Amino acid sequence: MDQKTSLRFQLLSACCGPAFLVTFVFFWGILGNNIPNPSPSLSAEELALRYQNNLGEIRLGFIISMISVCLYLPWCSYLSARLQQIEGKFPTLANLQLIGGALTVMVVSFSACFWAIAAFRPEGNPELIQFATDSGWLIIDLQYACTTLQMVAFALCVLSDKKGQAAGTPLMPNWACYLTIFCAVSFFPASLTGVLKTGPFAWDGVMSYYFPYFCWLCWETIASYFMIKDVRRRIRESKSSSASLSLEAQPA
Amino acid sequence: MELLRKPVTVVWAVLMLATVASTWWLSKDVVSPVVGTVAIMVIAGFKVRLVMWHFMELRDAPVAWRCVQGAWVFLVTAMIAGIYLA
Amino acid sequence: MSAERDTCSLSVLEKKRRHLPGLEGVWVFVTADMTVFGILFALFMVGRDQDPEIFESSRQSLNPDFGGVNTLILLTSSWFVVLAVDAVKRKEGDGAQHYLAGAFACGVAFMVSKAIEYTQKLNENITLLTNDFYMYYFTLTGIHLMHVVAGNVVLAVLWFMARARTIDPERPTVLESGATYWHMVDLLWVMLFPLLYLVR
Repeated sequence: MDQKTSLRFQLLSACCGPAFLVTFVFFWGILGNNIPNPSPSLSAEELALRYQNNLGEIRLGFIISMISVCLYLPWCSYLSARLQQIEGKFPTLANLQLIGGALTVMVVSFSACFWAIAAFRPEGNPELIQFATDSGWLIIDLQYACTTLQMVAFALCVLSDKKGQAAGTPLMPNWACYLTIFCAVSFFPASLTGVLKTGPFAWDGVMSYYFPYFCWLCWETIASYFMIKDVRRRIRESKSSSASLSLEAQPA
Repeated sequence: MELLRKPVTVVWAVLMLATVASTWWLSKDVVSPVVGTVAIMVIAGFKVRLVMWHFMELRDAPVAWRCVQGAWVFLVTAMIAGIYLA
Repeated sequence: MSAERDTCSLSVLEKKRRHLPGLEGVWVFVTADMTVFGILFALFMVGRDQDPEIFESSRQSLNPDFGGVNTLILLTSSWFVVLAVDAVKRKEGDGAQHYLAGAFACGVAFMVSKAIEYTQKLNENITLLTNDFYMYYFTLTGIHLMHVVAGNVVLAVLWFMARARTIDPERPTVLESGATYWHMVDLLWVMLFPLLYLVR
């Protein structure tokens, strides 16, 4: 593959980040009726009614979001390739970032699938609907550590890029790396969703839902911004170097 | 003792005294609960500011950072006292 | 020549005057963390407003001696860290090493005291599910305790670095960054302790 084509795929993959963000918020959040999301303190009957009243939206939202969440994969793949360039021969952090990102997609997919299951027979036994809903929320809220590792690996690798910093072209500025680490550890309170049904640490609370999800998407936005900027810079560099090469090749 | 003459040691001593006064004096029935509570929270805000300015060296930091951190102390103390009194 | 030196020393002075200790990224992290705690404090106060009787009766079951002593421990620990940074800058390696050991010991004392306090509560069958006050008590102090544990790891690393004399006295960025984080852990407890134990 020539460099121009490769850079085009890189740019496309980096742009999958914002595409994931927009489709996730729209299908998973808005159509899936997850803003605000159902409270864990709802009774089984109330919960079943919630599915029955918004059946079309919820089904469409979760079925499509299981496809669109995979936009996260090309984005992670590009991130990993870029980190590998920083790390050189032993891409430990790049691999960790890749595995973490891939598993994040599986965690999100499984929970959305449980809600699609809950919406499959909405007139059936409400307790089964409640069970499927609980399963979905506990899967996505208790298994966040893959994403935490993904983000920390990314931040540590960019922070250690002494060559890029010396050249004045770090992948992300120092503050964005520390913000990434902060966003990654902001998921920890979500573990309390396994115990609490009311308050800020329940799965519909500020500290276990709105704030950590905001942090995740905030990181996604910041990282995408700097990744796209980085690809564009490398596209410009490649253009100018090929232009100078063709100039040199011309006979005097 | 050279250690005891350092300005930061004076700050530490003030912090310790303020803590002792809040915990084992103001929290008892020497004043009414409302006065005691507000005084304790204001003292806590004052202590946080001392830690920021003298321990975290915000005293010598750029103005923007001092504003951000100073605003945190003010907003948090005012918010706690405000909700308490409301 | 001398005029040139004057402007040079002035700019050095200026730079020193406007110095933010440690990495700017650590300050971004610390500010974000403090904002989260600010939100948690507000949530606690709003919860207290909705159910004042439960909150007051539960608060009275807490022992303020634990909280007060823990405040004294953390303040002293912070003081040791300030002295350690100062010692490193003065190139007094021995002093820095001893102060960091002291700060670390204080951190351990805080964890031990918290463990005793939690054990007492759990033995009385009080957990975070008992009522809203204890939910806030266990979650807020628990999240803070995780910060203390992380801070103690940082202090241990700094202590080993001071022992090995690998901290650069001219640019002790790592030490200053760790110090900034540890002072934040301290000041959050300074606010959290009266909020949970003393607000009547």
